[in-house]
Amino acid sequence: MVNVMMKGVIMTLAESGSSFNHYAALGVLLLMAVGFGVANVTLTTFLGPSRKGEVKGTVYESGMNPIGSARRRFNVRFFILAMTFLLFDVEIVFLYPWAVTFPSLGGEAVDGGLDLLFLGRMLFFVLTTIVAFVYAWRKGVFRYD
Amino acid sequence: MIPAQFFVSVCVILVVIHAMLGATAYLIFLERKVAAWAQDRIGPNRVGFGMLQAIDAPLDKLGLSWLYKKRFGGFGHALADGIKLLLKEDYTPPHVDRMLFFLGPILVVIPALIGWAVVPWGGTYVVPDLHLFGHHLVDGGRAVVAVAPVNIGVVYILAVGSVAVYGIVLGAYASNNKYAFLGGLRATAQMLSYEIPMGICVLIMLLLYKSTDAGFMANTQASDAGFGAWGIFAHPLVAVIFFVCLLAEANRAPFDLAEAEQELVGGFHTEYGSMKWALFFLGEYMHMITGCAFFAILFLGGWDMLPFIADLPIVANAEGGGALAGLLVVLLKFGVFTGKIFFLLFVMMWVRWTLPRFRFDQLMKLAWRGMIPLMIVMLLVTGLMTAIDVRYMDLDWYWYTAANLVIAAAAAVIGPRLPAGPPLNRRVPLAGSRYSPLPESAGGAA
Repeated sequence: MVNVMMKGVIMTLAESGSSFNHYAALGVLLLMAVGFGVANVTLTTFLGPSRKGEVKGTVYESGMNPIGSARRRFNVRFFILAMTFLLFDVEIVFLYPWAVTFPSLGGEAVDGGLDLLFLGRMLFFVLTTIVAFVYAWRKGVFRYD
Repeated sequence: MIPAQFFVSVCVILVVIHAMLGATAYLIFLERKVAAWAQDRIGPNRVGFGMLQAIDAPLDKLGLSWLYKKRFGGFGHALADGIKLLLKEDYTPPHVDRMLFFLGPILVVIPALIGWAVVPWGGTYVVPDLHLFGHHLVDGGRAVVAVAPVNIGVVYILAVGSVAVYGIVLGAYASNNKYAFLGGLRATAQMLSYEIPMGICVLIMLLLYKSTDAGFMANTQASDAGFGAWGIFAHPLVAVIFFVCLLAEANRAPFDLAEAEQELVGGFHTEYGSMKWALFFLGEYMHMITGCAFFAILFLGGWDMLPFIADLPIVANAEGGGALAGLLVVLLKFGVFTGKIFFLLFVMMWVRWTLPRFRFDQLMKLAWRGMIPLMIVMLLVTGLMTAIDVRYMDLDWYWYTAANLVIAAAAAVIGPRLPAGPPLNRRVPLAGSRYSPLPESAGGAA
């Protein structure tokens, strides 16, 4: 049972070797990057002197006595900004496949007006975003004063 | 047996990762030299390799004492800095969230180290069959000189580049310091805002190249058969906007509000020290390098030496040239690519020491009320032009240049005429100040 499973895994790996080896090198690079980051943080923790003190351990606030904690509420503007960003970013991500396919279409003779359909859909998609953008603008999302 | 592509990829990893780490150390040195040049000073020129004096006896025997006696124009600064950062005290304050505090710099440096994986450094190379001690080691075949020649290329750079913001946010939050917290908020808001115009710029260039494969883009710009001109000639306005977005994404001046020294001490890295602090900067400089490579791929033809003429072959050793000649062509392409990157890095430093920093509201206004509407209009115009190109007639690249110039001119005319918001630079009438409506003597007399 286990033997058959192992064989299956090895067969799959061997077969995918030809089509997925582009990502194999990326895996090597990722391992090196993680190793570099972790090794540096670990090394610097153990190398060098270490002295502790009560004053040294306080929050740095330019020599003033710290008042309260930094974990507190912040302006709601940043939240709205993040929401607006999501809207636009998702829109752009959806448009990438479109941008690759659309210019390669053949025109009327080849695929019977598929290009106009593509263009119309993109225009509608961007139009909805423009409506959202204008709404947010009128609501004062982009007013920073 | 190793496939040709994997062999080439590992070679590229080994060469570029070391070149990149070394270049980062010396970019800081270069930055200080450029600052000195901009401010009419001499800059760092003292530190040589004096740290080698620790092993002076064997060096003297070999007649190499000049290694630690000369100054080498300050070239030892980077090395000395690195040693210092690794060996100095790494203090973790007791009030921080230890887990996230350690995770922050790691999460910054990992995307920076893997972000350049799809950059096609030297076109395509035909690897010969390689034998080692009679064993067949490497299968011959055509391979792209990149770590991962995947066809999602450009999307990968964008995706990995934006992961870096997590490290900064985590580090800032874990610090439990008000300066760090404000710096982290600013960094997030800024990186999110400038990612949108950057994404639309890439979208516009994709419409031009019809592919997301970075190597294919460079080929299209290099060959006469393909597109023939560099992207910057077809879309000059998009190139400018993209470069500004790169500056903002890398947290570089004039967009370095996240670490504005005058307001926030050190911003998100206030509580960091030693190598953990250095990892943030390593990440920043590597993002600059990756960003400049990205710009070179999209707008400067990648490894292409001169615009408008096909000077270097796309496949290095396709036409009867041997493997060694092909290797030389690959190295030449690599050199050209690196030259472009260093030129762009120099421009970034030049900008940093020339322009003053933006205010936060100006920064957000520039992205949301300036660049994003402009780039949406640009996207619509380019989309319509592509439709014309597909359906009716082939549009040459100068049509896109004309559209860019028209839109830039229109924006310059329309922009100032748009209804402006309330003036933000108002003078607060602080009692007793110059701007106070009350005469100063009124308070004293009463």
